[in-house]
Amino acid sequence: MSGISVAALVEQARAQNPEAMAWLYQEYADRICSHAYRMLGSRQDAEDITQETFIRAFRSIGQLRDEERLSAWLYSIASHLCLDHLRRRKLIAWLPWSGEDGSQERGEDSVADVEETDLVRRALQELPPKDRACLALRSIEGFSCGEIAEMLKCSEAAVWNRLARARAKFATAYRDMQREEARQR
Amino acid sequence: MSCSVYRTAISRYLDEALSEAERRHLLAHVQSCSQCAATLAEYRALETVLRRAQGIHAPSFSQSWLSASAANARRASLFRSSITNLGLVSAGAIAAGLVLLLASSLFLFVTGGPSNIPPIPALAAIEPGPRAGAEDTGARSGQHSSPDTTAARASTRSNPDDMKVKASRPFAVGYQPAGQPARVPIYTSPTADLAVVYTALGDSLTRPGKPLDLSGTLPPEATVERVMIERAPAPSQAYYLEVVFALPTGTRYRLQEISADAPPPSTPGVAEEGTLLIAGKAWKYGYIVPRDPRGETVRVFRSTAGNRITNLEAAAPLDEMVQMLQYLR
Repeated sequence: MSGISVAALVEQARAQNPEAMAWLYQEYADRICSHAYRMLGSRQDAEDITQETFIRAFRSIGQLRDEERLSAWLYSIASHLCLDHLRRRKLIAWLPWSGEDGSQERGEDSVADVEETDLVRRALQELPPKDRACLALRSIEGFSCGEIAEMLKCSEAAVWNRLARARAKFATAYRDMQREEARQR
Repeated sequence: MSCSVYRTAISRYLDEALSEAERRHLLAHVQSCSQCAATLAEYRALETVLRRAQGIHAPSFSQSWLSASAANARRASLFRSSITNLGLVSAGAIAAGLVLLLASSLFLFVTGGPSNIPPIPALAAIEPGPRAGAEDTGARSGQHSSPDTTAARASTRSNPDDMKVKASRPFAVGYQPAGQPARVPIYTSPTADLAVVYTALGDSLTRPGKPLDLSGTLPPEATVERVMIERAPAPSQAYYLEVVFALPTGTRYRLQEISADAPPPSTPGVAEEGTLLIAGKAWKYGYIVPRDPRGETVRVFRSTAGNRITNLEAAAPLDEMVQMLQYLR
């Protein structure tokens, strides 16, 4: 499907064209998954959020007025899902009476993930969720403050304030973690 | 202006949110203030670090969940119809499970939940199976499986439509001070209803003398066969709850619940989720109980091969939940 515009793919996705949906997923899923990973700090949760983001997006893609804003729209869905997820606090585990024990669950992050980028992710976890969302969307994903305000359904001034708080706290957390890493080496 | 004010301005400068006059004023200040100059340099460096941050790969695209997603519009009542298709066993089990989850939500809703609890690897040691954990604590002596129970268990293994339920995550939650037993049994009973269970749990934790009356919340077809509650040693209020229940078909289920290791939210809402495997397909479900529970719905996510397909509403359990919450308020 290379060569077809995003707008055309969105149009086809509106008609539930599986190929168009697959292409859109492959085009955006890694970015959405990475954003969710930074928001949640868990790869498994990020993957779940990514799939749910696209399920919701494909279900309501008819509501997307401006095809060129697909990316921001997907990030908006993912961000809200992440914030919802972070509000949850309980863990319920179901096990079969006999048989499987849930051991097929994937573990958390692999050792390879815990590298330099991990420092950023860990420092981001120090921020309040909405501040984290603002900083990730602005400084990593490159959205404008206006776009973020629209995504998170708040004012642009609120985004500026959250970014100011987030940068100050992220700087402190990142600096402290860097020192700690250096001390342990 | 203090440097803390300029720090906010520096952030806005990076966001191009300053007027031209503000920008000139800030840059003039930065030239004369080494602290603010350092802040600007640090923020710029961190912007670069953030931009360089590597992402991760999303799970592979799955035609199966895509197809199901595409068909979602036709599946508004999938949850109910699927229950019908899967038969009474799964329907009752899901309903029982949802109600049990509701009950646990209600407990936390009312009590505010356990306090801040660090991780407890020891709770991961809970073994699945009919006598799971019995040797761990010695608290469940006297609980013997009847022949009927054994037969029903065998029936469970052989029935392909059994609701096999798995943990959605490892049990690495809870609290265990060094040198202390992982779990302290506080209540166990071969037969009990949830009212008794939650009374015991409430008495043990934060609601002495204020039991929760949750009687009548179990679906009539579900029979609770065993209930066991353990909690981490004080000062933790982490708890572990195990309920074994059976349906008239003889299929038996075990619900394990471990309290979270996160502090309770500031608002009196709770949320839960998990994964059910039914006839080889994974179902994700979740409860959202916000400040005004009447404004929310129970969400049930159906999925195959671990991929979520859709997000549906289960009306009947929600009605029960709303009724219960109204009753408890």
